[in-house]
Amino acid sequence: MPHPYQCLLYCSRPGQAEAGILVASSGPYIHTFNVHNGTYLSTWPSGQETGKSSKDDATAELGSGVTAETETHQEDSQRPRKRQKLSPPRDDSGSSTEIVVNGEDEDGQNRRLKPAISPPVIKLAGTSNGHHVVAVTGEDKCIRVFELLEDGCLIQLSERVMPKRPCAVVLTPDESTLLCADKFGDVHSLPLMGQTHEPILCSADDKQGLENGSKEPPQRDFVPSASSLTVHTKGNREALRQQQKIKNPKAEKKSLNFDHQLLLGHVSLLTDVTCVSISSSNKMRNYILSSDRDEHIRVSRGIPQAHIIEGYCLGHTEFISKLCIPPAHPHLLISGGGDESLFLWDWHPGKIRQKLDLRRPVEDLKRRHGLEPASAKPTIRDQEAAVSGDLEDKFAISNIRVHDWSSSKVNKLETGIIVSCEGIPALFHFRIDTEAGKIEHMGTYGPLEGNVIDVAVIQDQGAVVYSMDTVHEAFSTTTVATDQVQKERFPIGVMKITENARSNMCMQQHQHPQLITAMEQCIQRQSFIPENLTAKGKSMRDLLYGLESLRKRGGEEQNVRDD
Amino acid sequence: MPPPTKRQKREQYRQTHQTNPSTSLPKKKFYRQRAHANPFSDHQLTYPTIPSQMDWSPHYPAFINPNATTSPKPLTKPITIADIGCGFGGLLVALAPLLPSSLLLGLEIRTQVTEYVQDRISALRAQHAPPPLPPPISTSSLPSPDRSASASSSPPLVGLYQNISVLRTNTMKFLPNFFSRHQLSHIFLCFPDPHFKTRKHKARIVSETLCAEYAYVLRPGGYVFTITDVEELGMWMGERFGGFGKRGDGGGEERGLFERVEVPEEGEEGVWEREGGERAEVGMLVRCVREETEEGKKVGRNGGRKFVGVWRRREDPAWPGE
Repeated sequence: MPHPYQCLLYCSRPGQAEAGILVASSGPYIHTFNVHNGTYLSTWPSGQETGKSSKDDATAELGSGVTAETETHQEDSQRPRKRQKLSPPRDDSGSSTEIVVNGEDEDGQNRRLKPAISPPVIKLAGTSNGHHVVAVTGEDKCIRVFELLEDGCLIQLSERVMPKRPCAVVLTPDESTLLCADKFGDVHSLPLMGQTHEPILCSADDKQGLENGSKEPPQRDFVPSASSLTVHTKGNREALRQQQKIKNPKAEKKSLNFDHQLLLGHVSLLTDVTCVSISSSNKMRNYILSSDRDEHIRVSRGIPQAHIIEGYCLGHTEFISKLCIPPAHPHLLISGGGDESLFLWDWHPGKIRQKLDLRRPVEDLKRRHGLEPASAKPTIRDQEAAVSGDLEDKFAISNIRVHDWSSSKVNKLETGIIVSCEGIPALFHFRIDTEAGKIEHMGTYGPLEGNVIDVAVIQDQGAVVYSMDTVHEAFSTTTVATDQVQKERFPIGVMKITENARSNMCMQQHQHPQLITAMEQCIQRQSFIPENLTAKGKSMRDLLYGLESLRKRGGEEQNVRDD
Repeated sequence: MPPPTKRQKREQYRQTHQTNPSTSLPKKKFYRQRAHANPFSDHQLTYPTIPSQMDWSPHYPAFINPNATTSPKPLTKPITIADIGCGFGGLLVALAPLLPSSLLLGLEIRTQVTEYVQDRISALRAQHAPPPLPPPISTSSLPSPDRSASASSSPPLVGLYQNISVLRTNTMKFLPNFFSRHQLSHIFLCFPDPHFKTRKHKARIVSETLCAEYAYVLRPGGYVFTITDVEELGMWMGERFGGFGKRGDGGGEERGLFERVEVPEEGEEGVWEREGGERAEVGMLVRCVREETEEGKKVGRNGGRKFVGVWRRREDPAWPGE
């Protein structure tokens, strides 16, 4: 069962349109393709490119599909080491997927217990010169930086494990620094070319821990911060007595072993982060915009003053999933999320310019597909569903990408916007009307064969590549399509950005068959997909359709929540 | 028939208390709730999308412009003092007559505690409804000059305790939904949940990243007051505010965004209050956080120590290179 492409990234080197490379991740693999001639280039991890990955591949073959077994024989009586959850335990496969991550022990015995293959890539980012690619794997919280060679090979330069699961990674305008927004609400900065220490997950008493721990401050004895004056209840006093008996209970958690800095934080789950420079009285000022699950878009100053909040863009009524600042209009922000509308902002004053409803185009699309939208048949069941907050019919915006376009007749650069929604097999095309300061809907391209997962703009060839879900039925994030349907589907589609008879921007479907064939064959060939990522698993659904889980569920008993 | 359980008694009491609002103060024992609420969970909160959409009319009926045409009707003056985690509202009630020309808002995450403060404020308002001149009130520490000052300074006559209110929210998430940039002059963070475990430090109401939000809603020159009975937490809060803005990639500011303000020793507040100027104000407010907060009284009874920190917000630094 081929795994769909969950992330796409186009890397082009300025002035070399023919060398443009599409980086696409399918499950744990990252493949590269030459967009110009539609040929497959390489795969990471491949076994030849880095010594490390060859080892992993060998293990993968040995393990034949099942990730390493959980139980380790802890010879010593120490507490088991940190367990890293590598997949939701509710997999249908039933195989346990917890992996005990071990410190590098001398004997090769434990080495086999390392993850056979890295978890799926959840985000890709690249530098504008096309030389570097950043890939984030979610379950192990790892940020990897690669050098992208001209022949499409990816050479891993560094591997940094973040303290919390990254949700978004972006480069600062000078492209020297990575910003990583995480599930805990924090944004960290780390140098793109950071040091490549091995992550230390072993406890402090290990040899390696001692070597690297020399910089750490000497360990102080543990002193409880509570005192008999601050705790009064019987249970708390007893707990304090217990704590005071302990002299040195446990080592402080190790700090991260690479350069990083906490820039800012929300008390919420972050969903996206972006950077922008705008000029103000002839000076360039950098800003960081961060969005969260609690409907906030925060505007902070850029590094090194990211602690200063300049304002908020408030107006969303559901979680936000994507922020997009068109490079040609850096004072504008387009955002989308669970409230089924595209928001256009003047982000610096935090003013909404426009709220563009996407509900109607989506319902039109469903009607064209033969599905009756729920609002068209107000049966009792639907009313009940509406009252009880049924999430069945809601959707969230999953991608907002911009492209430049100029008409052949009028030599004027325009900006187009391509939007996709979770579980919707279509691309929505808009343009920014700069004179009116509005977004205009130009067309809906669908229903496509499958739900759109990710979108990449191939600017120098005027094309858009989108990946589709080959596993689930169109318009559904849960129903698995029949094998017959799955076989006939293509995981990739390409559209060309062009103009119609009235010289307005539009898109043409069914382009570039070579690239589509190459990308389809590539995932067909893909030798090994971990069991937990096969089609039926919930983890696949979470990987492709993670946004809906951000929606708040109303109607829960308050007291239950509080207790 | 079994005797009514505590819960039943509580519900009955609260029902009668709410249906016929009385001038009698609510009893705390009917509003008990555990001391902790998870700041990361959603709860079931209502909050405005933007501050201007907040309807303050149930909170400050005496300060609503009745002739306003916009909806919701705006306040006649902005709220400038926030007691974050106000608990049972002791500080609000003490400050109401001392700062009659300011609007004060208590913010509390626990439902029952918030309801207690609401009932307490409405009882106090009923007790002090004008006219005639307010009768002697239960809280003994109120200096009488302020009361007459409030009556004379703001015609039409506004009763006491009209300038305080409380609402239930999670300030760690929704502070910018209620207050706009630089709106507040004072923020009080009194006896916050200490969250002893290192793993829980992000749940503390004072953290590196939350200081940014306090700085956003606080006007330059505005104050933050912190008090705790846990020495380690007191130091932690001091380090967070004192160090805030000093970091940054080597290019950070030499001065932080918050400047420490000298605080009177315990018992010296009265001397400061007589000196006038900023010292009088700080002295008065420090006395209130030490003596008037419910937790402050409890710590005093138990012979505990109180660690106070006061911070003044500086102007935002210049943009780098400007």
